[in-house]
Amino acid sequence: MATHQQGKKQRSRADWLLLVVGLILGSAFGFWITPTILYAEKPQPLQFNHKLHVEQVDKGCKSCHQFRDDGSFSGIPGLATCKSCHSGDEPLGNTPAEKEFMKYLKANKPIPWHVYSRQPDCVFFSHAAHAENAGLECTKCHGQHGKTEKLRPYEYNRLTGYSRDIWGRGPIGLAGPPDRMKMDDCAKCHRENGVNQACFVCHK
Amino acid sequence: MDWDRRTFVKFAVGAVIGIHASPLIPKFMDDTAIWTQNWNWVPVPEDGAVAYAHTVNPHTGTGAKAKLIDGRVEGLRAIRVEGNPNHPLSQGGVLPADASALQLLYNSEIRVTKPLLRNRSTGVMTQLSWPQALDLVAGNLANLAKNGQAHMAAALGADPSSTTGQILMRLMQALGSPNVAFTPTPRETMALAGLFMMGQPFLGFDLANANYIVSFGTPLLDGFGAPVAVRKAFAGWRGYPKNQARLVQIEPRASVTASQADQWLACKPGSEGLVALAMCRIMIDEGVYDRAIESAYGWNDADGLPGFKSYLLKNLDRAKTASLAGISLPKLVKMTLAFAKADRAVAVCGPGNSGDPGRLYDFMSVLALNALKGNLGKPGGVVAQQPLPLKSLGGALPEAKPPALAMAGRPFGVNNVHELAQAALAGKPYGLKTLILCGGNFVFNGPQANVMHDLARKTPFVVAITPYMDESAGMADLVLPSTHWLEGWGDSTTPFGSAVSCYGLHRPLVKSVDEAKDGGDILLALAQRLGGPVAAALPFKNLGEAMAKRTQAMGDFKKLAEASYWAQKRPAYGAMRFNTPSGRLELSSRVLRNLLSKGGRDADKTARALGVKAGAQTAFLPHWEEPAAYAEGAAYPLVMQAVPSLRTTWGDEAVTPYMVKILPDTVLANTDKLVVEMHPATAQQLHLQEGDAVLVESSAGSLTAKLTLYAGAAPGMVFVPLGLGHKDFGFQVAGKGMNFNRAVKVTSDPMSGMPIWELTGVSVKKVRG
Amino acid sequence: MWRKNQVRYGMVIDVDKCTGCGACAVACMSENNVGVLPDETDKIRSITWLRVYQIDNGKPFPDTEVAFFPRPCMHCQGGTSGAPGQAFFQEDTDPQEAHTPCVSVCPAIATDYDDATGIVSQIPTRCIGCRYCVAACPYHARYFNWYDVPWPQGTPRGLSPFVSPRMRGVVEKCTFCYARLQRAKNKAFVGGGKVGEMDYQTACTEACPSGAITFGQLQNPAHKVHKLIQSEFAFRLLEKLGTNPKVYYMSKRKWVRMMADNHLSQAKATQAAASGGHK
Repeated sequence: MATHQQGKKQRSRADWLLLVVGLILGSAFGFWITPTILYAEKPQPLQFNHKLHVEQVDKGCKSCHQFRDDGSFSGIPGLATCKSCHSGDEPLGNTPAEKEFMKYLKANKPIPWHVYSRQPDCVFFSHAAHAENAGLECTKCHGQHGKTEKLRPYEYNRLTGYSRDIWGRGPIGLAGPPDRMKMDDCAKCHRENGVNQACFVCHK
Repeated sequence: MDWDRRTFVKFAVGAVIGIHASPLIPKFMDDTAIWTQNWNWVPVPEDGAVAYAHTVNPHTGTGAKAKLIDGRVEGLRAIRVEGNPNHPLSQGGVLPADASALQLLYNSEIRVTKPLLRNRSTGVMTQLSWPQALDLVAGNLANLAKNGQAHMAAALGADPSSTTGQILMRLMQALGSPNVAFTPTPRETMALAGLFMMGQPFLGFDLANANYIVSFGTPLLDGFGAPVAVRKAFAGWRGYPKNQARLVQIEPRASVTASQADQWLACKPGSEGLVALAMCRIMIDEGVYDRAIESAYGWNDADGLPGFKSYLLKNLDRAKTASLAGISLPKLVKMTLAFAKADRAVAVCGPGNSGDPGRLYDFMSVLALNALKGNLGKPGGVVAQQPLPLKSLGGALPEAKPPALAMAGRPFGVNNVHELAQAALAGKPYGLKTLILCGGNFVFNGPQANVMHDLARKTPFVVAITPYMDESAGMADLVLPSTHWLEGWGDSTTPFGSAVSCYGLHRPLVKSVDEAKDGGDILLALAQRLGGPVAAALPFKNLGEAMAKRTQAMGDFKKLAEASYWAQKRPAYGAMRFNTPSGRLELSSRVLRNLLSKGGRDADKTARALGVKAGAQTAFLPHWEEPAAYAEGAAYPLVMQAVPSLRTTWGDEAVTPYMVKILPDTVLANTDKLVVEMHPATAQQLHLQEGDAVLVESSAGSLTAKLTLYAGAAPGMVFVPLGLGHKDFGFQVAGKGMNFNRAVKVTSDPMSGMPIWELTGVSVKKVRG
Repeated sequence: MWRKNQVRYGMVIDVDKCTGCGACAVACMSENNVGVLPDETDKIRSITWLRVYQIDNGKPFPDTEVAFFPRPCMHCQGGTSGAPGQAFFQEDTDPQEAHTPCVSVCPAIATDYDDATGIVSQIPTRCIGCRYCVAACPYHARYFNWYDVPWPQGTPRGLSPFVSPRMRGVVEKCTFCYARLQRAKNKAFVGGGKVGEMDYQTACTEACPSGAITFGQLQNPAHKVHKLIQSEFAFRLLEKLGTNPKVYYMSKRKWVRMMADNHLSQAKATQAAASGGHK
C-alpha cells in the first residue's frame, strides 16, 4: 500500500510537467498550422515596384490612385493611367517585370491584379471621407505599401476567399490597421473619434 | 517516471488546451461564420468611373441619360437609364420602359447574336456568317426582280419617319415593290384630318399651356404621344389648394385618366366623336363660339352640299345625342359652357385605349370643336408644328407598277398592314413570296396578331431584322440580329400630339452584342449587294452617314448626336395658315371631295363604296359613324376594349421583366393569368362571378382569362389589359397572360383607310380553368 | 430623439399627381439591383422596395374613381404626439418613446435607425433571416428573399456597383437610395461644399414623369418638403399607430385622405369636408 502511494506522488509531478509540455507544443502547432491551412497564396501577375514609381512621380500616391471629380476613388489604375508614362512601344527599363508588363500593354489587356485591400461587396469604404475629409495618411491603413520594391504574394482565405490583409496578417490577428481591416477596426476608430457608427455609413 | 496511460492523457490534454490557446479554432469558427454569408453565385458588379451620355429612346420618345461605368477589367457598360432633364419634352422624367431598357439590352437569353437560318420543318436554327446571310436575302430579292415579281416582296417596318424606315421604303421602291407598311399610329390619322380641314399635316395640342382640357377617349395619361411630356403638362395642371387647369375625360371606363381627371363623363364605347359634335351643337345653340368660324368654308351650305352648321342643326338633336352617347345632358351642357368660357381650352383626340390610330371622322369632329372654340394657333390650343428640317435621302424614285396590296379600291395610298396581310393571304390580287420584317414585332403586335402570324407562316421566305428572339423572329426563315437602341444608331421624329416638333437621336453608347448591326446598316448592305438602281438609290456606307445627310440642316452632326435631340424652341402661336383649296378652314373638306371624285368618279358612289353610310351628303364633314363593333350581331353581344398601361406596353417594344413584376393582380393574377374586367351587373346577367375562368371570343379570335368585377367598367363591355402574353422574351416575360391582339377584329376606317381595332364585338363564356 | 442640426430626410408624394405608371418602382429596382423571379404574380414573395398600391372609392358606375399610393419604406421615427407637420423634429420627444417597429425587434442589429439622417438601414449580410421585422412593419415595406435571384445570362452586366446584390434568406427594403447620399457626400468631401437638396435625390423622385414625389430634409426650411408637409392636405399612412413615418402624402380628395386612416382631428376633418374632393 505504502509503496503504491509513494509511486503515485512521484509520478504526478512529472505528469503535470508533460501537460505543460503538451500545452506548449500544441499551441505552437496551432500557431504554425493556422495560417498554413487557412490561407493560400497566389503570385501577382507581375512585380510592381512602388518605390521606384513613387520616386518618378510628383504627387505621391495620388499620382496614380486619384480621386475622380465625382468624389469616387479610382483604386488600382487601369492601363490608361500606365500609358501616360509607358506610352511608346519601347519598354522603360530591362526588368523582367517590364517585359511582362509590355505584353499586357501591347494586347491592351487589363492586368489581373489581386487586390490586397479588397473589402467584401457589402462594404462601402469612402476614401474621400478618410483621406480628404479626415485627413488620414494612406499609410494608416495601407502601411508602407508605397515603399515596397516587390509585391508580396497575395494571400487569401481558403474558406471565404477574402484577402489576408483584411483578416489580419499577424498570427493572432487582433491588431488594427494596417495589420487588419475588419469591421471591428473600422468601428473602433469611429468610436474613438466620435464619428457616426450607423450601419449605412460603411455598408451598401 | 513511469510512462503510462495517465501520462499520455495529461500530455494530450495539454496539447488540446494548447491548440485551443492558439488562433486555430477561433479563426476557423470566425471564417466559417463569414463563409456562410459568402454566396459566390451572387453577382459582384464591378466599380469604375461613372459617365453619363444623352440619348433618346425611339420607342417612347423619352429623352434619356444612360449611366455608364468604365470598369478596369470589364470595360464600359451601362448600369442605368435615367431621364435627361434638358430634353424639352420629357424634362427628366422616364417611363417604366425606359428605366428597364437594360433588361432587354443585356439579356443574352433573348438577344439574337448571329444571323440564324431556320429549317421550317425541323425548326432547327443554324448560324450563318453575315456575307452568307446577306447573299441569301439579296439573292432572293434579285431573283424576284429578275422574274418581274418584285412586287411579291413586302416589307413591314416600325416607324416610317425614322431614317431606317426611310431606307426601307427606298429599298423596296427601288426594287419595284409598292408593298411597304408600318406600325399604324395616330400621327397618320391626325395628318389626314389636318390636311383635309386645314392643309396642315403636323398638328399638336399645347397641353402645357391649356387650362381646360377635354379628352375624347384617348388615354392621355396611359400612352399618348410622348407619355412623359403629357405627364409634365399634367403636373402643371395640378396644384394646391386649387388645380391650375381642369381636365375632363370622356370614355367608358374609370381609367387612370378618368380618375385623375377633374370630371369623368362616362360615355358609350365609340361615341366620343359624337360627344364632340354634341358639344359643337350646344356651343352653336348657346351662341358661345368663336365667330371667326363663320367665314370657314363649309360652315354654311356650299356647292350644293350641306354645311357643318346646318348638318348639326338638322341631324344632331341635343337630347337624343346625349342619350345615344349615354351622357346626362345637363352635365354635358354645363361642361360645354365651361369649356366655351375657359380662356385656354382645348379638345384632344388621339390613340384609342386599344392602341389603334383613331377614327378619321372623330379626329375631324374634335378639330371642328377646337375651331369652334377658336383656339387654333393660340396658347393652350391646337397649334401647327414647325416641320422638322429633315432632308430627303435622295431624289424621287419611280412608282412601282402593280397596285399595292393595301389599296383596296381607295383613291389614295394608305399604310394598312392589316389589309396588306389579308390581301396577300387571299392572293388577291397576288400573294407574297418574300416578307421582310424590320422591327415592330408584327407577329405579336398585329394589329390582328393571328392574321400576321398566318402571313408569316404562309409566305415562303420570311426575314426578320430584330434585336430579340421575338415572336416575329420565331416565324422567320432568316433572323438578322440588329442593335438595341443603346448600342446602335437610330432616330425618331415628333411624337403624336406634341405642340413643338422634336427629333430624337440615339447613338452607340456601349459595345453591341456579338455580331448585331444597326437595322439601317443591314438594309444598306442589302442594297449594295442588290446593285443597280437599288444601290444607286441608297448610296450610304452606313446608317450614321444617312442620318448625317438627313439632319444637315440641324447643324454639326457630332454635336447633334451628343445632344441627342433637336427641338422647335416654342410652339408656333399666331393665326394658323390654311393650305386648303379655299385658303380658309374647311369644315367641308374640298381636298377630300377632290380625292373622291378624282378621275371623274362619282364622289357619292365612291364614298358609299368605302363605307361612308350617308354618302357625299356628309362624307366631307366631321360627322359620326357607328363603330363596326356594334354590328357584330347577337353572337357577340359585348364590346371588348383594351386597358392600356405604361406598365404593360408602350410603342412596339416588348414589356420588360420589371414591368411584368409591378403588375397588380387585377391585371395579372397568380399564376400568370390574364385578368379581364367587367361590370358586376353585366357579369350577373351572364351568370359569371369574380374569379371565373372565361373565354373571350370574337369573330376573329379568342383569349382565356380570369374575370374580375370592377364597378368602374362600363356595363356591356369587357376590358382586357394590352401588351401581355408574349411567347418569347425569356422566362421572366414569356407565358405571362394572353395577347389582346389575338382576339381583336381589325377593320379599316372608311375614309382614312387606317386599320382600326378600338372596339371588337365579343362573347364571354365561363370555361373550366 | 431629434436634436437641432440633425438632418431628417423624408419624402412627400402627391397622390393627385400620381398616375400609377410605375416608373418610380422600376427606377427603384434598377437603382437597387432588385431581381425578378420566374413567378412575380406571387405577391407575397415578390420583392418591390417601392410598391404602387391602387385604391378606389368604392362608388358604383359612373362615379368610380381610383388613386395610387406609391409606398416606399416609411423610415419611421416613432414616439411623438406632435402635429403631423412637426412630428419628426420635436425636440421634446422622449428617447424611450422612439420606436421604429422593425428596428426594435431585430435580434441581429441588421437594421438600425441612423440618428444623423433619420434613415432606417438594412444590412442584408448581417440579417439572419428570422423575418421578425417583416412581421413588425405595419406598411409591408420589408421583403424576404425566399429565393436566389435568377439573373438571366448577361443581365448582371447591367447591375449597379453602388448597391450590393442580396443573397437568399435575408430581408431587404427601401433605403431612400442611401448609396446616392454616400456618393453625394464623397463629392462634397473632394469638391468642397455641402450635400445640397438636389445633390441627393432618390431614384424614384428623379424618375417620376409627373413630379409627384418630392424628397429632401424635412427639418430644413430651405427644402421644398419642409413647406409641403405643413399643408392642410398632407397626411401619412396609419398615423394613429404612432410610427411617425417620414413619408408624407398629399391629396385634395377627401376619400383618399380618409382611406389613409390619417386620424384627423375633428376640426381638421370638418375642414377637409368643407374643402371637399375635387369631384
